[in-house]
Amino acid sequence: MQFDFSTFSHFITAPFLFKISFLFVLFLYIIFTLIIFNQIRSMDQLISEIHSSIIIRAISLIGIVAAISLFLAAVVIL
Amino acid sequence: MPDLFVAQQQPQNKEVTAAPETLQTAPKVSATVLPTDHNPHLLTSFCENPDSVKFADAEPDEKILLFLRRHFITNIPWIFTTLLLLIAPLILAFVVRKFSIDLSFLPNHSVIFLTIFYYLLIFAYALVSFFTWFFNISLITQKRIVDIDFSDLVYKNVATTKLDLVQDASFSQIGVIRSVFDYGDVLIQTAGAMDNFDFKAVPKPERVIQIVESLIGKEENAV
Repeated sequence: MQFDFSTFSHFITAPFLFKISFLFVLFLYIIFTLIIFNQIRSMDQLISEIHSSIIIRAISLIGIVAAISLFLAAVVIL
Repeated sequence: MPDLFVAQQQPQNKEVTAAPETLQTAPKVSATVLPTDHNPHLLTSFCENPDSVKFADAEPDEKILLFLRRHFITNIPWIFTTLLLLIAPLILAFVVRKFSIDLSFLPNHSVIFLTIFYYLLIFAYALVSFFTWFFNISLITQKRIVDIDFSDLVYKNVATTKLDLVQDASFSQIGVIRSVFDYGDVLIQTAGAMDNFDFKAVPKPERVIQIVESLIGKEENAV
């Protein structure tokens, strides 16, 4: 059984390539936001301000949630 | 014959005799008994005797006397850059509309997604810049000095020294902006081959020096 490149090439269109590249970059961004969150948690364990810790973690969590939401939206809509 | 020129009593004598007393009785800026307690908030850069700050390696009886960050004014460059980056897409949209640039070659919805992603990148930039400021902290306890350096998420350095090893403390406040907003660099020199501590752009450097010198027993040299 041979692989039919002509059938496969129908999928490789400009929007498809854009979507794949966008999702890949967004995936890297999600990893980056997770690293931010991890570093904040690590620094927070080293030195914590009771009043600020919650706000700081919440802000970094917002970044993660926004990135994941955009990723899922891109998978569905693009 | 009456003396025409009688030397008046020099008030200096009083001062000379009074000087040691004033030195002895002058209210020492004892950093170990600071009068007020404070709770630093999110943007605090100078706080004496903070209650709500916990340090991981702190000993049970160790109390933080001074909590320092760089002055908030040092955040202005990245805040300004962020604001510029925030309005950049609006300018770009205006240019596209003004010159009727054709963007139809882009896939559907891609402009919206790219714009949102662009704003997420700016958010990340602002976040990293803020955390770089937020976690660059210097602490002075009644036992030691702690300097936490944190930069761009990848560099983290925690340096401590006991107060016994501190030899001298000095500060520099160069420039109009630093004088107006009262912040400067504090240099704490330690004995031997140990690294010196350099607190960059901290508020009220005079007060910092005063506290450090009171702790190491050099009140009389305090600024």
